[in-house]
Amino acid sequence: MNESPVRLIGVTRRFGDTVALDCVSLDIRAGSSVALVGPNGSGKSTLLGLLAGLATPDGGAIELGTATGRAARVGVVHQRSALDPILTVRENLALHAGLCGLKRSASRERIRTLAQRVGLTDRLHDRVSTLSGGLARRCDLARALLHEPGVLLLDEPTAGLDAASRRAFVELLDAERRERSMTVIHATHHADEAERADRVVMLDRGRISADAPPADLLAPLGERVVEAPGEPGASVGLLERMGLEPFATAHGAIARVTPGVDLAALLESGHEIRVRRPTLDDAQAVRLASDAERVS
Amino acid sequence: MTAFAVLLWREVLGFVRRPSRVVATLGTPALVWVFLASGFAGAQTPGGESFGVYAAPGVALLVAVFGGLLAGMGLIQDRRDGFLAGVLASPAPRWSIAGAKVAAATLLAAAQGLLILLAIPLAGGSLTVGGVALASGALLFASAGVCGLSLAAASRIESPQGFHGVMNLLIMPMWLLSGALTPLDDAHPVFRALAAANPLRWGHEAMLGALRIDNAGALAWVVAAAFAGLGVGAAMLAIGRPARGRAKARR
Repeated sequence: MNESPVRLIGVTRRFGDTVALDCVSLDIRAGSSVALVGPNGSGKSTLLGLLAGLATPDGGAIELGTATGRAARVGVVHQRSALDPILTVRENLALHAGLCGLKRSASRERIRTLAQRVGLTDRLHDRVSTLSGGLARRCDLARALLHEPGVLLLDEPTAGLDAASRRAFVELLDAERRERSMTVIHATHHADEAERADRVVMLDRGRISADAPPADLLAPLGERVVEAPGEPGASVGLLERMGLEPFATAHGAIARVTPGVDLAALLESGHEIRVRRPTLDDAQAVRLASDAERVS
Repeated sequence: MTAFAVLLWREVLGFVRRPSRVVATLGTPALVWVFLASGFAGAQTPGGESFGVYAAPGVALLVAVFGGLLAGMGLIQDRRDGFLAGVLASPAPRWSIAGAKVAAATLLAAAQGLLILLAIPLAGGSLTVGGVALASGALLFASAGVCGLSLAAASRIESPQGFHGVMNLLIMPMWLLSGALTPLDDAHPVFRALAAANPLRWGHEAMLGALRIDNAGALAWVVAAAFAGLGVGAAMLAIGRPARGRAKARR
């Protein structure tokens, strides 16, 4: 049974005058998956870097391990590939097996098994520099899983991948999670990836702005939203003229479909709008707008 | 294999698979040696040897300097590529990561410098097994010092250009003031004083003394060894510590 809870107690991290994480507290149940979402600079990578041991916090405490004090083994898939391009896939995996203290025979077996699972058996003797972006990321995942970690940290692992490679990676990750019941903490900009997690933690300027299961975060938006793509200011204006309550997003504006809204009439109005299922991006936009309104 | 061993293996394998690194470390000093040996063929040297033979230990030191610079650049590259983050986030102890980096850089730089020393007969000099062994020890000390300092600087400097600038300003004057090209006995008192404080000068003197089978003096060996210790220590401290923060993470 997995016993690797992660706990952050009032963690603060500064870079000069900039507060990257501001008194963040989190309690993550062993075996659960948490998606970290938030705009660039919100503190996701800083938080993962602290959990990975790449830096120490300026304040607060981090606990990685069981209640009985046993340290958790941590695997990390970084934002950029941590593989040496001049080494082969096998050599890279053997190197990291050595770093994790695996004995040679155990390492050989783990490499064989993991290469099979991530679909790299045929490429074991190829240099990493010859792999596609998607295959290199799978190799990174295999590297992070070599020592059977209790906690897996992923920092935007699908950034820069095409849709097919991204889907393949996410499905692989899901399969590994189900199989091994690891605690997974996954920073992502992709709402569909975040929605697969048990819990979503939204970060904004180094603080937690929301922390709930995806369904709870989506619930206030209802079944459907109206979206007007384009420049946010103009899109907000358009939805307002339609009698809706819009929120600006990165790609335009959205509005809830409240009872009494005549969707058919809106869609026939000739404006460039569409009706779709709400996403976590929408939930985050609404939350940020509400926070800004509250502050002002 | 231990973390130290696999990282050492990776550095050596990476070096072998990048022939450009061998050219960059060994090629330029070898050319410098050839040009100096032929250009100053008639110059008098303190030991009476040909200038090519006199300059060989200095050129071997230059190989160590270039090896150190390349090791530092390699560390910056590893950080930019993301490889270093993967290594530092692994369960491997930090001392083994830092130690392997320094050991690999030192061994590779010293091994290439040794090739220069072994080529001394081509310049008309003679070698003894004992002399080469002792000179290799001095070269190893100098390489450890230079590579360690270079890796320590690289671990704190973000840009390759900045690193190159800093190292050129620091290490090249040290090499020029080591007596590598000209004896320092008749130099201006200011330069003699600077040379006396220059650990590479003592490494050079130990190497030259070993090859001439005369006594370089204990001081040269002590300073050379202390420089090696300083370089290794600096690298271990700089690479072996996570980015600063006041609180402790409990793992």
